[in-house]
Amino acid sequence: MAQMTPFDLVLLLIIAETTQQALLGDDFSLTTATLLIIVLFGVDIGLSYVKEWAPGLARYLDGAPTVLISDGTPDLRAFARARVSLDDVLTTARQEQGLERMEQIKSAVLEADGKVSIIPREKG
Amino acid sequence: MRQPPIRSDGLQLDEHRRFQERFWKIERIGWLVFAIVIVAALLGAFGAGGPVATKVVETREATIAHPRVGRWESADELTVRFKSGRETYSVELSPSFAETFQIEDIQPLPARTTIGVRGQMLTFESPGRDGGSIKLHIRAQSVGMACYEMSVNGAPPTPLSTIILP
Repeated sequence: MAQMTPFDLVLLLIIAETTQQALLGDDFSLTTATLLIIVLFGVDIGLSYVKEWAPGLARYLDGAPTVLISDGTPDLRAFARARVSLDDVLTTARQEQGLERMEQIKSAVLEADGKVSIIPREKG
Repeated sequence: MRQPPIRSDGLQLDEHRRFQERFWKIERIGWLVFAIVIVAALLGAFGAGGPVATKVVETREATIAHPRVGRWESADELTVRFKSGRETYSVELSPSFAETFQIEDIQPLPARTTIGVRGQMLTFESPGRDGGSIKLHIRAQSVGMACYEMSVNGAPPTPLSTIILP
């Protein structure tokens, strides 16, 4: 989600529009809209409690972080399976940490929300 | 609150690599299912056009092309091509047809419409006795398997069915 491309945004809008039609149909009443909003909020709040009670289930709902670079060594399998390129990591390293080269990266983690976190090597 | 373990590389996080491996495998199976669904949709397995979506039934009097798979509240077509050279053609639809489908339009419009115990009878005139075809523009009003019968020119009723998806 954090690394959204313009196509991802268009896709999200189309999915939202399609789902809206399936959920509401041709019923544009305020009652239906209010009920739907309450149900969706209720599901969201309910799921947050479920995740607190069952951390194992939280992994299925939210995903888990993936270590892409550990101690400077890239995990090529993780890169391939998570469909992240080295360029993506280097871009984030430049933007977030001002790093210039791969050697300056100690760790890189693909977080559950899709954002890449970079931990730079300590200087000296 | 439980703290994630500190790894040998200094990161304090629960990576759950086994879970990730399983997730990546399931993700790829999901993509395969997506591909199968797309191909099936292009073939018409979910209605709305495509070679599988329409079924053609040959009878002594006519060729009936009706939807094999349709969608609830979605427009569909039922075509009857008459074979014999008659001055008057009749199409009788069983009551179960009207229970499931709404007829939005008939091309051409029938000369006469009558109802009876066996359903509704549409009568078409063809002074040239050179056959022709009619098209019913229909819209499904309920979900599930719709079974109905059609009789052309008084021939024994032909059982037809349409799966209507929600």
